[in-house]
Formats: sequence, C-alpha cells, structure tokens
Amino acid sequence: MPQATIRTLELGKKYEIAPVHRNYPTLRDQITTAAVRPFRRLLGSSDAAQGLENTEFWALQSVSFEVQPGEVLGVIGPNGAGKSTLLRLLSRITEPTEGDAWIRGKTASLLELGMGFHPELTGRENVFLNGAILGIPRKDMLRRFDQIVLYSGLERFIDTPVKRYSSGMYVRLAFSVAAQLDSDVLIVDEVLAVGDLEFQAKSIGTMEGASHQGRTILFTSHNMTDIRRICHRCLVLDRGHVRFIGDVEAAIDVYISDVQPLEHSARSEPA
Amino acid sequence: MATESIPAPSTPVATTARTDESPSSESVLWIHASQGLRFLDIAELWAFRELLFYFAWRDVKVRYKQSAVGIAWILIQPVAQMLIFATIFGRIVGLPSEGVPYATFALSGLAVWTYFASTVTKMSSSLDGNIHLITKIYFPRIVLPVSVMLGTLVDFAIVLPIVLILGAFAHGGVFATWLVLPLVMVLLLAVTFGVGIWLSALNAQYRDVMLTLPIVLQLGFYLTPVVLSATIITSVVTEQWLPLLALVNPMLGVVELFRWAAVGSPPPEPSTVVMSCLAAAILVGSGGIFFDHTQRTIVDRV
Repeated sequence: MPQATIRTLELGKKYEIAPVHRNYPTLRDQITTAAVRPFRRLLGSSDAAQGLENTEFWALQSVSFEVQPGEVLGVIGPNGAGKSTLLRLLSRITEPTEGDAWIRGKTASLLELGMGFHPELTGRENVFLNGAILGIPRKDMLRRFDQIVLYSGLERFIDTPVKRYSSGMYVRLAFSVAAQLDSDVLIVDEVLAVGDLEFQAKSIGTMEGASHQGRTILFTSHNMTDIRRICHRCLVLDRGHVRFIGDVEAAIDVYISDVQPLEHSARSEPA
Repeated sequence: MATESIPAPSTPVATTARTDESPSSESVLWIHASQGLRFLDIAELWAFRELLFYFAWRDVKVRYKQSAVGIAWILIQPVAQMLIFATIFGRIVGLPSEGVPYATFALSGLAVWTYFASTVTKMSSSLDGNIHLITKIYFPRIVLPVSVMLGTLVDFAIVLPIVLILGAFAHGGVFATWLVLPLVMVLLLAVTFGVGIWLSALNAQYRDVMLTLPIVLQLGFYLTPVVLSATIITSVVTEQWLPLLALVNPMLGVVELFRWAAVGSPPPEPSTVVMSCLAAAILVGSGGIFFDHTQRTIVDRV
C-alpha cells in the first residue's frame, strides 16, 4: 500500500484569547502580570477569579486524516470551523500546539493570490517578486516569464505599476504566476473565489488539470459545485473537530444538514 | 440526515509513524510543535537566498520610486547632514576632530551610525510590517530582517567611497588601514544583526519597542563618537568606565575602529574594541536563539 502523501495525527492548535481590555499587551502589562501572579495564590484568588478563564481557544483539536497520492481532498465546514487554521498548520505558517503532520514531496501553498505584490512596482517586477515568494527558482521564472504574461493577457500593461491596474487585471496577473507552481502537493485556500465568473472557471479548470497530472491537492471552498467537480473525498470540520471524512456527496449532506437549522432561524429574523 | 458523524480514519500508532518517518526522510516534511532552544537555521536562510535578494531589491526600488532625483537621495541625505554638523560643531563651536578635518571626522562617523540606526529601525518593524505575507506563506522569518540589512547596505556602499576620498585628502594618499575595513564591516554587520533581530522579534509582540527606539537611538548618537569625539565622551564618562560603555553600546568601538581604518584618526583603545566584539557576540548569539524561538508561532502574536 502506498504511503499517504499527507498524514495528520491528533493535530491541535490552541490560541490564547487576550481579555478584551488587554488586546495588545504592552511589555509593562506583561511584567506587572508576571510579577503579581505568584502572589495571587497567596491572596487566595486564582487566575479564574481574575477573569482569566476562557482565555484559551482550540481552533483545531484531535484532527487526524490521510490524503493519498494523487487525491484531491476538499475541506468544508462553516466559517470558524478551523479550515484556515488547518491550512496554516500544513503550510507551516504557524506551529501546531499538539500532534503531528507529515507531508511527502515538494509542497506549495496558495492561501492568497498576489502575495507580496507591491503597488509601486510594475507588473513585470511583481511577477518576479511573487514567484520568489511562492518559492519558484529565478531561473524557472526567467524561462516561463513570457508564458506567464501571455496567460494573463496583460502584455501591454506589464511595465505599468500595478497600482494602476483594475482589480481584475491584478487577479489575472497574480493567478498566472500561481499557475506555474509545479509541486507534488498543493494546499489551496479559497483564493479562487475572487474574480469574475470567467476567471473562476479558468482557475478551477487549472486545478482540475493539476489533479489530472496526478498531484495531491488539499482544497477549501464554500462553493459546493467546485467541490463536487474536483474533489475525490471531503473532510467536514466543525468547531475545530473532524465531523466527517469520506465520500464527497455524503460530506456535503453532513455539512448542509448541520447548516440548515441555523439558516432557518436566521431567516425567521426580520431582515 | 441519517449520516453519522464518523471519527477520524484508522491511523497508525504514533510510534510507528515516527519510526517509518526517518529512513526516507529527505522529502518528508514533519510538522510538529518544536521543543527547546536552538540557534537560527543558517542553512535554511541560505536556501532562501533568492527571496532574501528580492526583498532587499524591493526595498531599494520602492524607496526611490516616483522621486525625481531617485537614487541620488542616498548621497544627498548624509552629505547634507555632514555639512550641517561641520558648520555647527566644526565651525561655530569648534569641537576637536581627532587629527582630521571636522567634515571628514563627521562624515566617517555619520556613515557608520546612519547605517546602524536606520537599519535597526527598519528591522524592528520588518515582521509586523509584512504581516500580510507572514500570515499567508511560509519562509524563514529571518529573511525579512536580514533583507533590510542588505537593502540599506546599498546606501552605505554609496557613501563609503566619499569617506575614503576625504580620508585620502586628509592624509595626502592611500593608507594601509583600509585593508582592515572588511573586518570592521563584519563587526558593524554583527552588531546591527544582533540588535536588529532582537528588536524585530520584540516589536512583533510589543509595539513599545518601535516607540522607544527613536529616543534610545538619539541618546546612542551622543554616547557614540559620531559627531562628538571620544575625548569629549571620556571627559563626561571617566576613562575607566569606557570599556563598560563599549560593552553596553558596542557601536562605540565600531565607529572608532571604522574612523581609524577609513580616514586614519588615532586607533581606539584595545579594551574598547574587545568589549565591542564581546557585545556583538552576545547580541548575535542571544538574538539568534530568541528570534528562532519567537518565529515559530510569531503570526499568532503579531
């Protein structure tokens, strides 16, 4: 049996939620809190009594799953379910609090389009900068530059600062660079939800193409049509836990049945 | 809906997962909460050198976009400062300048100090200033502050020849101490790196750093022989305290060494140099460990 391309084991991420009045802890606050803490117990008041309870939040807990080579796994769930946190952990943006994950092969993450685009720089300059941020070697970028520009359809504007671009042009250029990613594993957040219908169709087609090339993809979306079209299996997250993993249709049913009561109560409220 | 919530699929036991992981591990990425303290991963920084270069290039490029004289600003700023200090402190007040013309004395000090001060200032906001990037993609976070050092090095490289020309004028020729300059540069970069990564990791969590820094740098400017010669500083801080001052403010030794090597003023006390080197080593070592520890989960706290 081939080894899984992505495997997570009891993955968890805890966030500390600062009490409202101390959203940005200053160094002074930290020092005074640290200085006072040992004496609290002597004074008979615990941290909880000081209003420090519920300052922990598990965005993700006990998440275990596997993605097989060449598989496209969709991650669905309501906002706040932990989809982005999961993608952040697998992209190494932050470390998990507990648990492990293994990813086999060259991995690329696409959590946003046009990362590092600077408004003052030209399209050409941003293409190279963005490529470097995505981890594409410069020699590959030089070789593929013409192709990128052609794909974006922005030949005439490639030496114009991107601050003068329309948002559509901006997204097209950004996507053309991202489409160059040729890693074995792709981790894609809802980046494709931007842009118009034509763009979305083009981008989902590109993902489909990547899947046909046998690449392993982890993909989140709120668009069930896209999920049905490209995913082989689905993971449903709910409040940081795995609610369901398996067949796409069954997963969508689970997700929708969880959502419907909420939608119903929302509808009964006056708009 | 009748679908039962199904728990996570059967997964191999943790121990087997860990053992079968090691043999063919070169292409396997292991994601976990890292434990313990260690120094920055220099090999990884080297692997990301292209990104380092691109960030530095972006900084330089963006700084002078849409300005009429463009890159000439790099020269205008320190030369204007030199003229102001040469007029006020050199002409009007008549401060001592360690055997070279006051303008030469001032520019050699300003070149080094300006590099240090502007670089650590920019480094201190390099993580929170790129929040939109570090929350969206992985790269070793150290790339950001280090790229700042490279970007401002361009400015320094443009001012340096002018300092050397003024030095050559002051002594009527080229001199041997110029050969020591690369070593002085290593010390300057080490101090800047050490201070800068401490500040960037701290400032990502406590914005107080950015607010305090201008005041500290202003004080440092007068506790370093930039425009005031060391003889004035030692007349305030008695001579036996000078090594201690050099330990607290390693730029003291750096500026003195640079001025000696570049324009041929008298060499600094060996104890001053030793203390500056010691401080640089402490800053780089502790900063490298602190930054590495902070960068693992920095996006959660920025």
